[in-house]
Amino acid sequence: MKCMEEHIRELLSSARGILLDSSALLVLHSDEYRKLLPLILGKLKAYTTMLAVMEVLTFIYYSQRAGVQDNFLDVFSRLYELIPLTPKLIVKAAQLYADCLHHNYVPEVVDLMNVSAALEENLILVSASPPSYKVYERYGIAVISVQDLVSILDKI
Amino acid sequence: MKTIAVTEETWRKLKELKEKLDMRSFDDLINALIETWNLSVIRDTAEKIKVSAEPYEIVSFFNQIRSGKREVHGGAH
Repeated sequence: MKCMEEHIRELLSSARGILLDSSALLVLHSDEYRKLLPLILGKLKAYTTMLAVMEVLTFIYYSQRAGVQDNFLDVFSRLYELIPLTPKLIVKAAQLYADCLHHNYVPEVVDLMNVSAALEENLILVSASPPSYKVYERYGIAVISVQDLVSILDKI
Repeated sequence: MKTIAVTEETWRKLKELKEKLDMRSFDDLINALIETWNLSVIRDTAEKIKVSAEPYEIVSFFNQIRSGKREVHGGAH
């Protein structure tokens, strides 16, 4: 356990920050975790991709489990650094997409964008469902769970 | 090091707070105040986006979307 914590701390100290995917963002804004957000964002620079934001909004519109205000993106951008779909990111994602196809795997586009952004920006990917990214480990992506992040908060 | 000018009243309040918070220097005190202010802004902003769902529901939603299932449970329709 201690070894795992140390590993996560090392990962975080070697990266520029964390990249939250849509599942991590929603979990961190849930009643169970929201109180921890100031601690996380006070210690780490947090990024997310525009496609992850689209998925967050999709969940909210679909499940109607949260109110969506007109200034949602404005509020979001005050908490997180939003990574746009830059030409560099598109090229990186296309390269990974092609490689996945060569390995007989059709990737999920939003996941692929998260992986590409994390690799390009030197960020640790945080997800509520890390197994979703197992297939991308060969590209050198580091993925931790929301629980992993929370468990080492007082040690970073 | 840079210097700033404050009124006598602000100076008195800063000295009181420095003692109360057991800060070693005014630099430490000002940094603590800035950090507290930043956390307070983040806390207020985070409260503007509240998601009333359990973590397992969120994970399950995305797993079902990813697996291509059309019927996603927990929706409003």
